[in-house]
Amino acid sequence: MIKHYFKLAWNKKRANFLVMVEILAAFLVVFAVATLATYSTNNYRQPLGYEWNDIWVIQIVPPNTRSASVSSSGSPDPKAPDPVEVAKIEKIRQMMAAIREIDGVEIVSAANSPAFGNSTNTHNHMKDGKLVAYEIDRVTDSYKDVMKFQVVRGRWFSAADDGVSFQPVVISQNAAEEWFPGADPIGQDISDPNDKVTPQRVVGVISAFRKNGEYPSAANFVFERARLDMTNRRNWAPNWLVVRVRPGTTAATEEQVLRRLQMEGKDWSFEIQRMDRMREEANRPYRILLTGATVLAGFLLLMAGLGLTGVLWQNVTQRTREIGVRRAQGATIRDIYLQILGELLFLTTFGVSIGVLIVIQFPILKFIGFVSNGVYLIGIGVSLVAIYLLTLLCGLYPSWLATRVQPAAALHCD
Amino acid sequence: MFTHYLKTAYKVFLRRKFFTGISLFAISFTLIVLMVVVSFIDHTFGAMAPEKKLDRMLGVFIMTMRGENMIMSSGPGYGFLDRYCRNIPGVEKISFCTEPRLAQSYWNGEKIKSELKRTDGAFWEILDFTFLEGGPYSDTDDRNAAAVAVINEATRRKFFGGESAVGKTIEADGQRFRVVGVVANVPVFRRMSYADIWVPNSTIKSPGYKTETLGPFNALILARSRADFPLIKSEFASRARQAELPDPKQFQTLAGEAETFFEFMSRILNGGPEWEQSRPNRLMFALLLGMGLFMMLPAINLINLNVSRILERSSEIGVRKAFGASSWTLVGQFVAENVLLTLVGGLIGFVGAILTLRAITESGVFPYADFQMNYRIFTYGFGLTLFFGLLSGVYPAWKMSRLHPVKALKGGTR
Repeated sequence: MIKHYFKLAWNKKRANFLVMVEILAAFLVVFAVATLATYSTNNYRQPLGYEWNDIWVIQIVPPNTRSASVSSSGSPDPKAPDPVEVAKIEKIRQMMAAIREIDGVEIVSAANSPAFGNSTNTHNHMKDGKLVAYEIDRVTDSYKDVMKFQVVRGRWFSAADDGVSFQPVVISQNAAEEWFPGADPIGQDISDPNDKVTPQRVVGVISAFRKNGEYPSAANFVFERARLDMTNRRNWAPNWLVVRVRPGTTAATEEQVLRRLQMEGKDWSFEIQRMDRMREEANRPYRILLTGATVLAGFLLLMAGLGLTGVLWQNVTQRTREIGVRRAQGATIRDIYLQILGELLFLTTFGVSIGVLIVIQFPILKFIGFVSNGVYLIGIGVSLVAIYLLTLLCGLYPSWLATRVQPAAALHCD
Repeated sequence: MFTHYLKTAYKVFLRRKFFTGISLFAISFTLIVLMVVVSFIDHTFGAMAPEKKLDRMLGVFIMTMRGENMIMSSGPGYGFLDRYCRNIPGVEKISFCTEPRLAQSYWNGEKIKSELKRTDGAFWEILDFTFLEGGPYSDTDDRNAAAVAVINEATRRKFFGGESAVGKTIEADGQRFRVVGVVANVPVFRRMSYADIWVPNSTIKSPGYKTETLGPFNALILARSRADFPLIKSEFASRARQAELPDPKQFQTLAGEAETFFEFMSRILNGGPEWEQSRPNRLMFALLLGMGLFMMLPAINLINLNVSRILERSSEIGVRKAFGASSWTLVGQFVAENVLLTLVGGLIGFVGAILTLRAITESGVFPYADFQMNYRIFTYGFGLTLFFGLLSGVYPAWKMSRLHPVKALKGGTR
């Protein structure tokens, strides 16, 4: 029976080829959107690892520094602390002490690349033949309480680390799982063995830290301890203050904070932003992209579906006589349905097979590294179901038309 | 003869309203999407107020300083620009301005966020702002560090309601400025001119910017004519190469280019500022490829519909062939019919695009964006329509012309 459908479809390969290409193109469109959507929902459901409510993020720009992006390869020579940097750190300490006094401000911390801030500090090196890649931030001890991190193993760094001979770091759960599978991450060193600096030793693991919000995928994250009471060459001035405020704190307090900061640093610049707003802004492009892609794909599919219905309809009218003969020879209505839909399913299978062959290259060749294979598989699965449903839906009316053919009328007409 | 074709086409379209409907839907939807895309591109790269002289403009947006193990990319600094770029041959005017930065003001207990851009006097001569009241500040104001500002209409509304603003004082980022002019809002897409508040460069809080090699600045260059571009580009590049660097131990070379905004964007999208070469052709190719891919599904859809509709008209074709019409005449007729249909679809598409653009403008997703139809978008849209009509019409027409007259007269298809 299937062989028979194959033969029928093959006999009209020219005409069917175009229909198949259309199904293929539709499959690719659905695949792109389905993969994007799966990827996003997958990410969206992972925990952020922190609470973004009631946090103010203050960018502090010291006089005469630029908003530059610095990428270093290798480590700079050890040298004495830079006096400019020492003065900056001293000033920042004063600022932090000053705004801590203000009513409504609960906890004050300092960081270099806080959540939703547009600066990132990435690092990678080879260790034991494996690439260790992560994003890193240097934060003060109080950052954990501002962000409300959950420490799942070990501890967050604190004043108890003042005397230790290593650089205490806290890493995110996903980093711990990737770097030390099955082993206890606490006490392990993560720094580059070729780097002759104080080793970075893991003292704790937090549940998660997804810096840029719900939509992007999570990077491995490392927090290093920033000390504002001591200046060595690895201790540069933070450029953000991250502050937890009492819920319901208003713009009046914000103005008060800004005035205090301006009093402390007359030639500095400050930007106060609320983390909940920053999160909205960070999420907006993703929402626009997702909505836009879905609407576009929807319209494209509707169009392809209507077109396909038209083509099939025309085909059926063309084949009135053939169907008439079959009916006269005793084919039931069910047989006719099966024939029209069977041919269509055959075409669809052919089209999507080529489509799957094309898109399977993405996970195999790792075109887009950060999308996992599972996401692609779900994407392919969803698109297969969608395309089969679409073609079946398009075939229903034309095949029903075919069953209405009266053998006698069909055989008479010329 | 032509009116005769038109009549035939009209009758054919009316005979199968369902098919005509699907075709029109497909064509107009495709064109709406493409025209919205074209309009975004045009609003980003096209010459439009205040950047009316864009075809004679170059900019220096990003520069790279390299050392043995450090690479630093940022905008050029004022120090470098002022020292090396004042007298480049072929330049009619040059302006140094910062990139806009978020500046906050507290006004009657409310927080106002604005984008603040610092510029010199030449900025107002290179760009054509529409002044609603007052006027620009001058180079003399910039030299004297006059605390004056030009604000846009939206900022005037935020600070003063609907009242006149000239002569009044506003506060931004802890500084006070006297308003000297109010301009119409500049859309966020105008990268060179966009801001809410413009103030003189010399109001930067500390004077250190005057010696910076890299910094938050951009240079806007107005050339005498487009023919001077190569001269200006090579002169600028060689001056950057020869510039004296502040810390020769850390950084040895400085590189940067005077380029159009399109070249700058293609450099960034091509792998960041360190990428030595800007490849505008690549960005152009990517844009065209993207549009082509998007057009693929609708085009195949339309081809399929057209091919199956030919069969309906086989007897007409048979008669025409039997009476001596050449294949070319038939191809011409069918392509013309298809282009006619596409033009009708294009008309609907234009109306749809205008409505969509208006909806996007009103949604406020893009600050101050005002998507208007202009002659460039119209021309591109018309070109796209014709291209789409030909693309989807040629294959079916060729197929139709190949029908054998005898078979066609009998109503056969192969």
